[in-house]
Amino acid sequence: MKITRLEITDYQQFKDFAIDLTYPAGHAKAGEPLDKVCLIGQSGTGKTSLLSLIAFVINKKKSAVSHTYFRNKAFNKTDKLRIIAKDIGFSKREKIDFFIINRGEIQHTNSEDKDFFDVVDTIVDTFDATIGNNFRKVKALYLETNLQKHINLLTDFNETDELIRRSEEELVEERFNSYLKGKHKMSNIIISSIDFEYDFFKRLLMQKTLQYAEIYDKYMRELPKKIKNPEKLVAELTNWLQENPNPRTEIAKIVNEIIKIFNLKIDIDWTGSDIRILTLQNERVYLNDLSTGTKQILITSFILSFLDWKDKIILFDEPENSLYPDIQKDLIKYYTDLAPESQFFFATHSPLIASQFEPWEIVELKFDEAGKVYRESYYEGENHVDNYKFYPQYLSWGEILTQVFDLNYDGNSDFRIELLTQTMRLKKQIAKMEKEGKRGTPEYNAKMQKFIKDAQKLGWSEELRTFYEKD
Amino acid sequence: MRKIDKQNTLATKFAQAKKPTHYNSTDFRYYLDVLMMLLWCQDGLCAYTEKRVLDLSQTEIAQLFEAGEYHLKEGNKKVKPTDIFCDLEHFNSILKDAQGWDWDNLFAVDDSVNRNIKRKEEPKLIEKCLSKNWDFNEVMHLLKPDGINYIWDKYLTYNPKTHLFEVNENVEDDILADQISAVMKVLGLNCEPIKRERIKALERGLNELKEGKTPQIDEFPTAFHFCKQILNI
Repeated sequence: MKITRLEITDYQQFKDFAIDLTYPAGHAKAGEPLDKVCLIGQSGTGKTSLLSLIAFVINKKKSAVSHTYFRNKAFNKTDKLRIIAKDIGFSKREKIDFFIINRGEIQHTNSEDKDFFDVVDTIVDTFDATIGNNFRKVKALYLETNLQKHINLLTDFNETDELIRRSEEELVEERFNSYLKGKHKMSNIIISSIDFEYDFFKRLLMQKTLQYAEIYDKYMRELPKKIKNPEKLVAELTNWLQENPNPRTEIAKIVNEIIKIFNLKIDIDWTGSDIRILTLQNERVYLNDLSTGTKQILITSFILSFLDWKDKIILFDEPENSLYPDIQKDLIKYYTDLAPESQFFFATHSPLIASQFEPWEIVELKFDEAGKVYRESYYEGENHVDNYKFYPQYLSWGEILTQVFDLNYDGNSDFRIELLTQTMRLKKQIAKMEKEGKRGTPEYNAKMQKFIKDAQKLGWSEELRTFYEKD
Repeated sequence: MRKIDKQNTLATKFAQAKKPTHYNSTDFRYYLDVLMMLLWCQDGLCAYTEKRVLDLSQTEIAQLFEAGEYHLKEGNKKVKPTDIFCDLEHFNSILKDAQGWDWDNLFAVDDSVNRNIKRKEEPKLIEKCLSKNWDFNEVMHLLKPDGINYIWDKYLTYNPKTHLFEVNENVEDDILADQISAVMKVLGLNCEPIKRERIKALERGLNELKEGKTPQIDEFPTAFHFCKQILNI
């Protein structure tokens, strides 16, 4: 599933907002949904709102597309959101039963109840648990801006081994059987639990490693029976290992490639069920001691590479958070390569992130004079690849800041432009003095010294070389 | 930045017109009247950056006035506010409250330059003047486009390599150079969006010149003139 168009009639600052999310004419994929989208815009223009709204509608409220069932502080009854997506059908539900688990307390309501909307308010930000561990039903993954706080996603696996061995569906069924008393069929209800989302990923991650460990153990137990033929045994074991790669080793290959920049690697020899990190010098580093940026990369990489994200929508808020520019500049390719068949939405303030997109993939949100948000148009005339005003992938960082992010000056306006024009004037004055035969005079030397100093500040290596050669 | 002549028949007309007591930019009809008269004086260009802000030449604007399709009493008939990409700007903003409709202090200026540059940079220059004991009004007058002593190439030159306006190298006094440079910044002569559009327009014009054609450059005339002179085309 990929989104081709987004229409919002009236939601917060979005009024009659519509954006096309397909490749333009002249592109090899013209008319097809964009593989990745970059949302930029001043704070408050609604980048994060758009991401969470997409996740909200796709994961939780398929029916909201044609019927506004929901109401909360953000969503009024009159709000309408329409996401036109390729290869997805939304079915109308006549009646919805909601069961909300909040710290062991169970609440029940349905769409015919008077208080229905008020009860539903409380689950707006939760995950639809009816999907349980049926991962195929997760359509959109929302990676929030402060992802690093969920670092425990990668720890404490052992403590919950027992829990993990049982499926989510079993757990849900068990907890609800007594409550439902056979009145409802499981297929007609929606169950949500507060803060479930990352729990869910943790379960999936753990299941995968535990499943491997179980199969591995079973295989190893059977091996002694074949000890009579050691060569055959070695060959069989080698084949088995090749056909059944350890998920931890597989993910380490991917993640180690990027975290080596932080002087870190995943310990692939560790046999426990949690994730261990080592320095490249093989010293153990505890997850909570890692930097914010490292934690964010680790968690995201695990989620994206451990699970199958084919045909899903991944919504990523501020991927640049706490990361140095050298990592930011390659981040989009790194993440999109981890889930090549998904559609990515990134919201960013970073020119380095924006530089990794084609112009038609950038959605710049701006306020008009009435305070309404609109998408800045990057092309003139027909929406064709040749009609775009700029191509971020070919611009310098400075040009991206001025052309894409609308900064008024290339470089630090208070210093650079002023010094640049002053130094150019100085250069001309020096040339004029040379013509007048004043070379070597104290005044000339003073100007020359100032020029050299200022040219250094401006990073003018070529100009300096010319002057030094002259001397 | 060209010299702008505001002492013409329109100025007389403006002086005779009944103006609101206080300056009010929301008195839109009157605001547009003044703006149109200034645009006539400025040939449809921003007074500072020389970017085209109204897609009509001086002759075409004059024809509107002559045909009675545009005059003070009835306000704008043919030109809609949305056709004009500029603001009515007070050159010395300190005078705005007391002398809001002072013709001498008014210019038609590109709206983004006015809102994003002038409004932000002018208070900084006021502070700088205070700290350096400079007279703010005198400093601003160095580059006042309709100033009596203003000569377009006396203090400024243009660098075809960097596409930036610079203080003319003949200005020997470093304090004066510093002051000119500060006013240039306030007027947004080198701000990036304008620079980008200037490069586009000039490169097209200069290429046509090199090919022996007569380019139709309808904006950035001063920079274009400097380029031709410096590059000897």
